Amino acid sequence: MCGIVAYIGDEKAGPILFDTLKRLEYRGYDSAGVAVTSCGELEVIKSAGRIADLEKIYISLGAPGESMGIGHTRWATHGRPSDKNAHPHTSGEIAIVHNGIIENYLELRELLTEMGYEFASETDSEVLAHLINLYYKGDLTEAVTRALERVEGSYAVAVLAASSPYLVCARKDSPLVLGRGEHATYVASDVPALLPYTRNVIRMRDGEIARLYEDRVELMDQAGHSHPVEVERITWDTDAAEKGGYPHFMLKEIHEQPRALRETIAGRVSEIDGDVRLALAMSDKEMQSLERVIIIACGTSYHAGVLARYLFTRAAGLPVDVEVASEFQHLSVRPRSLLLGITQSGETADTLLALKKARTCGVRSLAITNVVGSTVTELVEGTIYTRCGPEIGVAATKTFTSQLVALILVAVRLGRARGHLTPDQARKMLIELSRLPGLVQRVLEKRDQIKEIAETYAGAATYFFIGRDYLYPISLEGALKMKEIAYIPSEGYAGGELKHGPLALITERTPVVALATCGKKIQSNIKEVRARGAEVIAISTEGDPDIGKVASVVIELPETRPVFSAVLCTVVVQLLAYYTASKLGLSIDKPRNLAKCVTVE
Amino acid sequence: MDLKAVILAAGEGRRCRPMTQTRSKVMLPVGNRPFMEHVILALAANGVRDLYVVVGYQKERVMDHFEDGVAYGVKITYIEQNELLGTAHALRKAEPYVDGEFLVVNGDNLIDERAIGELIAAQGDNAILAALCEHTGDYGVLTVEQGRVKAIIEKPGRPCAGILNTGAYKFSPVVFERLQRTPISERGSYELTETVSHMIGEGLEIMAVITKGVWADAIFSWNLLNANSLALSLKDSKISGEVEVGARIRGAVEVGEGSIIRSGSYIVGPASIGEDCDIGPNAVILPSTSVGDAVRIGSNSEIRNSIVMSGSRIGSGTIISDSVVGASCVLGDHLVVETGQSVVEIEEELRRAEFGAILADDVTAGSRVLVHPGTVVGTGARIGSGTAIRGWVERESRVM
Repeated sequence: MCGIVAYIGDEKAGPILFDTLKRLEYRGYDSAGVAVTSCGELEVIKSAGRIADLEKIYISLGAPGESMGIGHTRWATHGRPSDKNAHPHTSGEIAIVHNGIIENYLELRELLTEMGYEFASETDSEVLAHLINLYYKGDLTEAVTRALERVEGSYAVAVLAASSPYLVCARKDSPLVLGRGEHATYVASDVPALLPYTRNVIRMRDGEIARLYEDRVELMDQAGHSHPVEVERITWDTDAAEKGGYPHFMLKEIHEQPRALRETIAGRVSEIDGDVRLALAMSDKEMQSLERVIIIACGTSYHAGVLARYLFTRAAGLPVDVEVASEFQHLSVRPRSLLLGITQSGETADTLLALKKARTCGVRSLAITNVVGSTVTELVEGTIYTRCGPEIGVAATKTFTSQLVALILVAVRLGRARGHLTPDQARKMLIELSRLPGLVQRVLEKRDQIKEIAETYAGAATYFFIGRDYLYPISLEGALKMKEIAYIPSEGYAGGELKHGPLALITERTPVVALATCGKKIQSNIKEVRARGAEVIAISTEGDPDIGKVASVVIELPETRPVFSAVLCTVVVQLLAYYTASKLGLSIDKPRNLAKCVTVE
Repeated sequence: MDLKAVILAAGEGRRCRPMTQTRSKVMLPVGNRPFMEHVILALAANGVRDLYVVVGYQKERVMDHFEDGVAYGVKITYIEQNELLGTAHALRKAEPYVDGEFLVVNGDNLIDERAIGELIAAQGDNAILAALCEHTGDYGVLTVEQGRVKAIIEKPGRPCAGILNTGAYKFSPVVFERLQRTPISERGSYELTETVSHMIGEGLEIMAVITKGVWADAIFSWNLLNANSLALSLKDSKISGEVEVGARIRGAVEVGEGSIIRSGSYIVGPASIGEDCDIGPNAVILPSTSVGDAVRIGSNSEIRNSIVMSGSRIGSGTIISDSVVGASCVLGDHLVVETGQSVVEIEEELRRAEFGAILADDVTAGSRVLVHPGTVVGTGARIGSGTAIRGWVERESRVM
């Protein structure tokens, strides 16, 4: 995934492009570039590496350019990260930046090569530059429209032509927002990047093309019919997007969890009624007739889905299929199923595609997401927002625990509507839920102990995480965090699965994190690995008398219901991965090869 | 050049234990806002927006609440003081960040816009914000002549009326050189008042500004109630939440967004209810009470002159007065806090005080618990049903 920006206004474009690009760096960071107009010519600067490096080059060249330009930060999907593969791509006096994938690029490339165009890069995006050049006869909007007609795939694109007085951008299945300032128009892949400049934002719709001037924006569809411009005033702040004293966004976001969970719950719980107020776009009757839930998600969100498998079965009497979005087979969807997509960004390409396919089977659909107005919300009938504010660290932390809480709310609502939970059972669950943010705060106060443990085992070659029941998905999540942040090969297993193979990998001093707040059965699994010399880091409930006898170290958590203890265990494994990576001196907020939100399949 | 301010927020505030076991004193709420939020808002109202906050003890709580300050209209830079060696040492940490005249303010006092304005407007390069007080016993007392400070007498011991040092200063950069020369005190730390005494001794002119604005402190946790009462008295009515038909609200009362006051409840201001609270039905909240966010108060309960912090649950038929209830406490049905005179041992000193109970964070109590006057309960303690408690209940202990 990539980030794109553009600027046209009464100030010098370069510094503004770099500033907005830095705010998008979390979307990708293996190469970057800008193109600006300078005395009727294009000035293109690009390089593999961080945006700060590129800015140095720009300054060393005397900060060229006038008041119009485009920029890009890239995460490689086609072609290796290199100077020539970095955007902007140029063709004559045309320069473009592109986020998305052009599916028929090989075919177009062949065609354009035959016509005499020379390709400088290995990327799919370059064909767009040449196509636009091919159609450009003085009207940039028309050229872009005609070029996009030839293209199959997804795009958010911004186009600059040296001789054109305006910029053109367009989007289809990739995010793009416009901002209107006093004497300038801004473009970026997301809203926070624009906020330092303007709070007046225009969200482009799929298939729209925009013509940007210093003082106005014109929107149209591909047939050239003009669309009304709806300006939205953004009232929230970028403060949540700053690190506020923490060394990393990830640590800050881990600490934001009590507040994030409180926000997820706020206004949705009525203890007196023993019910949850959530619009699930279904009548109680429809919920009663449901026979199955199909959850579609990727990565960390998938782990939230795995937890829901236990939760929905118990609280609502509904069997659940949890599917990795990229492996989803929509032909397996049966009528009277409820489709539930979980995606933090609401833009995850795999999840969107799977939802699109599944919807064709004529079933009800819901989504859990953190981003208001994201693409997924247009795809489904009902959306439950996790409301935890922007998450900048690439590793999902607060958005995962908020997803768990959102799933608990959905489970209670379904359980009540289906008569599977009595009002009093629901009330007791909701009372316990209201305590959860406070309990998470107490777990955060264990940070020093967790840090010490993380530092002790930071040199480990592998890490294992085991858990049963609600804690099985957390063991998967713990292993994923350890892999993506600390680069330590790690595996998460259901406690009972160890003896069916993985036990062979457990050797002297292998750290095994045993999630043990949920039943006694895990203790026999702990003994199995102890017998093979593993170091067991047990996460258990305060006052558990037995665990100390079998584990090497014990992290004690406050007592709560098993499903809520899954949230508490999550906080521990997040901190464990964070402090391990911190001890190893790794780039925590931007781990290698990973992007925050994956908008390609 | 814009005036900058350094906020001292690194210390624990040990005498406010057990409330400071999980957060520093700057984060204790009065009038439903942490002390330091009052400080920051007072600075921002005077156009002081470049703030350097020295953090140490439980710094995460401070950073989580204020973040980069944008929500309060200021820009905050955090400076870490890892070894807690006193206020003079803390201020030295800020030296690289300030130039020219600047303010130094304690993060753990209640202060208003007017007081800060007076300090900024003070004549001379160096000034102390002072307050007239009837009992100066626990503070540094100033002797003032023609507006200039002649001497600072630390904790004179016997209670007398006088001019006390609020610990808010305006300094010129000369202070940094003096800070380096500050000797270590008997308590093993480097104290700012010591530095100032030396500056006076060397003949440097330091003005005393006796404030007409609001300034208050809480030495012990039960003093929070006075500061809370003062902070609430400065507020106006603002009802953002839902008040059901049949609930009555009188006087200056704040009800935050997402909160619901259920039928039959009776709230008399000054009082403040935070966001997402669920109060009643038939709950009674009487003057000088602050209730944080996401608090549940059950039916037929009565709360008077108290602070209840965020995330706590109070059962039905419970009576609490003159008390501080920490965050995330769970108090059962028919718990009664008695109020009256008592003698409390704190930091190896005996203190006479009059209050109900101090319950730190995460205290859980069963039903029909009787809490005697002057009871202090540490973080995470569990009190069994039907018990009667008095004196000190230690952190994480169980009372059966």
